[in-house]
Amino acid sequence: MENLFVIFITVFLVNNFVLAKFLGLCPFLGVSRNLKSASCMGLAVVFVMTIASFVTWCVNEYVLVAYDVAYLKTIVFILVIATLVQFVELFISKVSPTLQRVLGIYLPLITTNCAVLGVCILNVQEGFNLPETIVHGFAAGLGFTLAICMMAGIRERLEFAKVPVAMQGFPISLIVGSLMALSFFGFQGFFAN
Amino acid sequence: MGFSAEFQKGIFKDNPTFRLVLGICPTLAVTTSIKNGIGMGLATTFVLLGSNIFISLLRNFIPDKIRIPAFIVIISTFVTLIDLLMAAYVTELHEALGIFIPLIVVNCIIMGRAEAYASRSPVLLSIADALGMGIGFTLSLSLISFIRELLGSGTVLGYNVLTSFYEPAVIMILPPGAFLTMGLLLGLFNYISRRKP
Amino acid sequence: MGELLKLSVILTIICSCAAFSLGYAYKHTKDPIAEQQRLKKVRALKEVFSGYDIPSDLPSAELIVGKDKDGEEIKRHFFLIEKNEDVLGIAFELYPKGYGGDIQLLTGVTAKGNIAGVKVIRHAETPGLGANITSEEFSGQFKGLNLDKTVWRVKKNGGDIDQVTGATISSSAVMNAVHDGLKFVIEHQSEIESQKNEQ
Repeated sequence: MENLFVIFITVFLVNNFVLAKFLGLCPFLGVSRNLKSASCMGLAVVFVMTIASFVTWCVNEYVLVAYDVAYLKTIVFILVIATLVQFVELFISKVSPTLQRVLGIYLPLITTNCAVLGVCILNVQEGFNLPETIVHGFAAGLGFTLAICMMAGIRERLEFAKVPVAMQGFPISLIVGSLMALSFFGFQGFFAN
Repeated sequence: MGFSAEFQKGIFKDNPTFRLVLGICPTLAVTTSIKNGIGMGLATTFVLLGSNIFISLLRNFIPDKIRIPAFIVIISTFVTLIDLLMAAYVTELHEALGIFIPLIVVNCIIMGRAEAYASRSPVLLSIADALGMGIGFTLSLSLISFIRELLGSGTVLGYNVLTSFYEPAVIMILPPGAFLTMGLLLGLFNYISRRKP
Repeated sequence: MGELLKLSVILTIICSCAAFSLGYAYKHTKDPIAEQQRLKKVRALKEVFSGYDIPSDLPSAELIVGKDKDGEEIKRHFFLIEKNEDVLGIAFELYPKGYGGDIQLLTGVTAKGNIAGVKVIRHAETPGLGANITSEEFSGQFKGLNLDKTVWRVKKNGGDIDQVTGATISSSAVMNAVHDGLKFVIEHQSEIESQKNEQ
């Protein structure tokens, strides 16, 4: 149990997927213009990452490793993720139209989110067991959401700032990201004795 | 557009990193040294070439409805190929690039070119496009990693250039430095392109 | 129905071609990859036991070194470097917890009970600070140290071990791991030697 907690905090804060591991940057920069869309994207990512972690771990364990075709991991994982996202879209549209209105447009974008494929590969690389994998995926998604919401909050305020024309949009967001990454650096050594 | 025009497009006008702002994840992650930057650029170019060629060759064979899964399979095949080849023959680089080699498959540049170009253009032009984008990407990575390696470690390609009088600003090879370098360079290129009529 | 069949068939063809080409590539890169991994290990051993003759295949023994947090036994491999049936040294890996995560170390103990060398294989320490444990200045200082004559504490606390400036935690992690490893190997030396098997 303690181990799961360590994994959670490590991935959520110390090794934040966006600010320390550089995963999920495209939506981090692209979907963070306002807090509402950022939080919706974040929610969708948490959802997909957790389920994808679970499914890809099982596929790896019971298919890839069992038949000694571990080198097919990249192909199989990305196909599983793409299929999963389709199923999730279908499922949500049937079960909760409200949720669909909220998450709808973000789900297809998640397939190419390197954070999702990244977390699935990391689960296997780190040798996590199933509970650890699920916690890791969930925490990674939450960490992403934390980063993207923080960025959206800042960008909403930036709208009123006098940013030089050349720096507007991506450049200034990247500088903001740099400061965020710097502040998250303070979490290093969280678990050192 | 001729072969050379297609090729040049990827290097300047439609540079994937600084104009299209695609493939940011590997750009920020692997540019801690020039060697890594070039290595990643070349690996991505390999995948771009392979996927563009095959997708262009098969463009009339793949039905529209299943084009996305088909593209994914083709692209990820080439990614796995380069992954295996690098692990076997350039192990150190393979370890340095780590998880970002399999992540080439979700690099928006590749899927983007497949969808927007290779699936509707003849093979020769697709090759030009792939080479242009790939080399443009490699050049961008080299530029960013040159800055980060020089200021962050005081070395260029591993050779100590800025002797002991310069204390390396380690932050440049850490995440904050990556974001900072990219943001400033992007701003610079925006400024330059606005100046030109 | 007919269209669904056609789409499935085309997709199957593409996937099969992909699978075949990858299987082929895998078959041909499997050995070079395994060779690279093996060479990495031999290179690391050569650095730790510099000057010794390291053969490509080392006999090894597997021992239980302790229990982890969940009460599971931790097993480690101990590699024996021999010449004509005499054990010249024992090499083993250590995984202490550093500042930024686990550190992977390769250490060796000579037959006389001294440290042959320490090599940092992998770490997640802060560049410019804890990452300097890989420097010759730090990791090289362990060569020749032993249990009795060395005071296994950092210089700051009156010991013999020079820590990396500004990285006491990383330095202590390495020092304590090497010290514990040395103790273990000397205590269990006969057990390791008797358990060795040809790989």
